[in-house]
Amino acid sequence: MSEKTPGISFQNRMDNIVDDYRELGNLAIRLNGDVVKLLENYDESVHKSISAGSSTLDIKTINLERVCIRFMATEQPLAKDLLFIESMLRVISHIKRVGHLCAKIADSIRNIHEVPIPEKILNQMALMGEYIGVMLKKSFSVFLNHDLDKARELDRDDDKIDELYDSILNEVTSTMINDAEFAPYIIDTIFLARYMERIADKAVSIGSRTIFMITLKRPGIDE
Amino acid sequence: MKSFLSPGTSHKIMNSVLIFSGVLTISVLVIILAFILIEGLPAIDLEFIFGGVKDQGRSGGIFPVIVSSLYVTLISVLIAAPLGVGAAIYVVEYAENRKLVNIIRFGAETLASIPSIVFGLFGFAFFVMFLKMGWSVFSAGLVLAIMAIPTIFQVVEVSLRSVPSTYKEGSYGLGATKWQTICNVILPAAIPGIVTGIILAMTRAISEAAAVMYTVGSSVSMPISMFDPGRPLPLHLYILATEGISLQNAFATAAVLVIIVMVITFLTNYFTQRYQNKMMGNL
Amino acid sequence: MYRITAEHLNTYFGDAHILKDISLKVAENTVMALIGPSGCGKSTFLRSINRMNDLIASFKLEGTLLLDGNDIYSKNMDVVDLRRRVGMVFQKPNPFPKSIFENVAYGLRIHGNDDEDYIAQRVEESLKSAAIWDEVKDKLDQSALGLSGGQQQRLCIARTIANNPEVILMDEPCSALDPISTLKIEDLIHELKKDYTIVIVTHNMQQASRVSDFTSFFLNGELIESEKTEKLFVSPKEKKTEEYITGRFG
Repeated sequence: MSEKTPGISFQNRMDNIVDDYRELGNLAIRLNGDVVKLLENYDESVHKSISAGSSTLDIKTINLERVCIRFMATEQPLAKDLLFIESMLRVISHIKRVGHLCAKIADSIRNIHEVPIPEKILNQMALMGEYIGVMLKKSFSVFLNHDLDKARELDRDDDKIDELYDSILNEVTSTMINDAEFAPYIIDTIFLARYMERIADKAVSIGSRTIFMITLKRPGIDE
Repeated sequence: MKSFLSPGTSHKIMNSVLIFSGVLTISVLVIILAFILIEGLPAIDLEFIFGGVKDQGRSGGIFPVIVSSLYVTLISVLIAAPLGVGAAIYVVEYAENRKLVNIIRFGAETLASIPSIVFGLFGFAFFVMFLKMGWSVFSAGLVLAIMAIPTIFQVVEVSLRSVPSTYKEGSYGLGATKWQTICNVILPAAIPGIVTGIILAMTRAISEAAAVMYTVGSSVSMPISMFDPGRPLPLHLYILATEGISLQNAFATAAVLVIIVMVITFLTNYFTQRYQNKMMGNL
Repeated sequence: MYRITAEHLNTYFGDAHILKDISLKVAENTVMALIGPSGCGKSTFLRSINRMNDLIASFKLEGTLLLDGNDIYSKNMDVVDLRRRVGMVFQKPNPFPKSIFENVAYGLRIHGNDDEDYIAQRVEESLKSAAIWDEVKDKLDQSALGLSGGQQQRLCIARTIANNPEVILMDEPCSALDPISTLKIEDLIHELKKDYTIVIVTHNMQQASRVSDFTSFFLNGELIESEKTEKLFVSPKEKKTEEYITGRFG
């Protein structure tokens, strides 16, 4: 069978959108990786690079949104293409949020980096960060590849994050009771964990959106 | 290869050549008309037009001759128009057999190319002698009709074919029958072409001398019945000139003939143009 | 209720098998769009409904094609009445070289109406239904060929409506029109479907998605998919449909 392609302009624009999307995804993954590094060892330059990265992500997202809108206006995609572009707009807005959350996490780390946070909490956070990195990668590629099965896995992956989050909260609570000095830093520590947990939620959302894109049904609700 | 002339120069030369051809065509027409009218008009007065022929045409008028001309022309058109138009409608709208269409077309072309004197001879042998119609305006009208049919057929066929098929589709789509479509859509749209064909045939018929020579007789009295003999304008003109009766009156007769043909042509052009404009919404 | 029902419809032009086993239903007061590449048979299907294909001698049809349950191709079907009940609007606006009034009155006259008052009333109603009355009411006696292309097409729709049809077939009615005229025709289609069942052939998928309730995709004489328009353009069932509407067709 001959190779079937839409118009050249259509395909080029679509390729460009996918390239831009990959760039956004890679940037978000890098920010998350930097966050994990920052947790281990606070470094002001890394902190700044995360904040700057988050802003860059913002601008790139808006630009890609413009590209998508122009694409819809001029090429009028239908069916699979229409659903992909529409979902693209949602997904990149999730990616943008990931950037915001990383910036907030970096701020929280700065507030507590001189405090002797118990090793156990730090380890669990680092584990969480790495796990989130895997989830992000997975969600970004799941969307690009219309991978229904892997998209469904993301919801289960999130259970592990929730587990870690609960465990961190428990740890924080017990530390707070035993160590009064720690009290002022509780809020930042809790927020930090909470932000990380929300990054994982974003990965789940991207997975859900992928499922919706393929089935036109909300996972777990309509199906 | 480099052209011998520059494009600008060759353009100018061709322009001049083409303008010259155009001017020459018009000039020939103007010269002939002017010549005939200058020679003929002085002899034309009311008596010439409405008077009877006297002394073989040396004096008097040409009224019976004008009437003869109109008479034979009218008869020929009344016979040829329905046949020619009918044949064209058949060929364009009904005939499904391509071979038959080609035969009909070939027949019309052949008929159109036969010299008019041969038609005259045939008319004499067939209508005048065999059918015993005698020398009469009717015999002449029939011969002229036979000559006119191919002209009308050919022009009408072209004009019917040029009616856009979308008109037909529109009409059928509304539930019209074939005959309703032909009468209400195709013929009205083709009328300018049909009229042009008929007028073309008419002006040829009115100018024909050879074909009527053997069929209409040569009587200069007023034809009343269809079976009376007559003498149409071209024949009168021919006799006046060849028998050396009166060159002056020959030119006057020619002038009348030319004027009649011109009036017919101008009037029909004017009316078909108006009709076309109204139909096409260009008013 | 279904206005048009095709069951196992096969058509031929001479030896060429054009439509292959088409089964399709068109519900009353809906708009059905037929899409597909050139030569896919959608126009042939359209022209089978009012037997316009009969004008081509080599046309042959097998299977069933029903209008309100009556066989369109039965011996008892009066083609003249069929074409009154199933009006047609063509690709190129084709008003007759007659006055605007006579164009609309044409269908009435050929079907034997000679009550001038009734004709005048129907002409006005039809021109109003076709949303062109205000533009032409002062020049009804002028030639229809003096109108713009978009006006001519709406006049052709009025001409069809005057016959009081049940179904209106449209064969790419906007392909010769500018975008504004196209929009007017599309608005008109939305109005007309209240009273008529419409089947429209279009090459413009945006147009199909804008005006129709149902869309049928034809390919190589086969009906690949017939679905609610919204569904077909968002999540088609058939891969071939998806390939065609997303341009991955070749």
